[in-house]
Amino acid sequence: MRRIIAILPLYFLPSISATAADNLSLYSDVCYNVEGGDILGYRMGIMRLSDATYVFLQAAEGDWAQPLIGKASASDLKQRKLVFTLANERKLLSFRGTITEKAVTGQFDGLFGPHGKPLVVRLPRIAVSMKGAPNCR
Amino acid sequence: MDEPTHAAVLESAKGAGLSWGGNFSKPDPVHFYSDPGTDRRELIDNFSRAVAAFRGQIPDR
Repeated sequence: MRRIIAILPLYFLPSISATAADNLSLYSDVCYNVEGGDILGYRMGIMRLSDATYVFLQAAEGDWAQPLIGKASASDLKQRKLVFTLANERKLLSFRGTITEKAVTGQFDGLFGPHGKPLVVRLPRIAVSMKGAPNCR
Repeated sequence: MDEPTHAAVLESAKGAGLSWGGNFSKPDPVHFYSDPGTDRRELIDNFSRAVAAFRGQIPDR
């Protein structure tokens, strides 16, 4: 009996690890700009916790900025839509887009891209364990 | 920032001897820099290595 009890945790360990990995997914277009010595772009994390699904957004503008955290609608996510609103000390920003296993795509309201137009992003999914950022192309 | 203001900022930066990251192959429009006149990439690389080494000495980084 003792032997069975000792083995049980080993049996369940892999499934626990897999679930933990699925509960956090990362999407990022952050790259290292060799001309400026800066990291540039955005990364977004989707955290599926027991009470809600949370989104964090972190900008890379030279170095990592403070992340912003908000909630994503579970019903939207079931339809592969990703919609959320975040607030920093100065303003609100919102995002509306789609999410798949491979990427998050969409548009921000409150963040701006070239020529002052609303920022449109495509953030490929990356491994949670990924370190550093690839060089910008 | 509207176009005239943007142009004025770039003109002022140029007048102050600064180069603009908007001209990088991966544009970085908020980046202004003073060109050292030597191999800038090598200097950046050296600096990045020094920062990485420094961070490596700090626990939990």
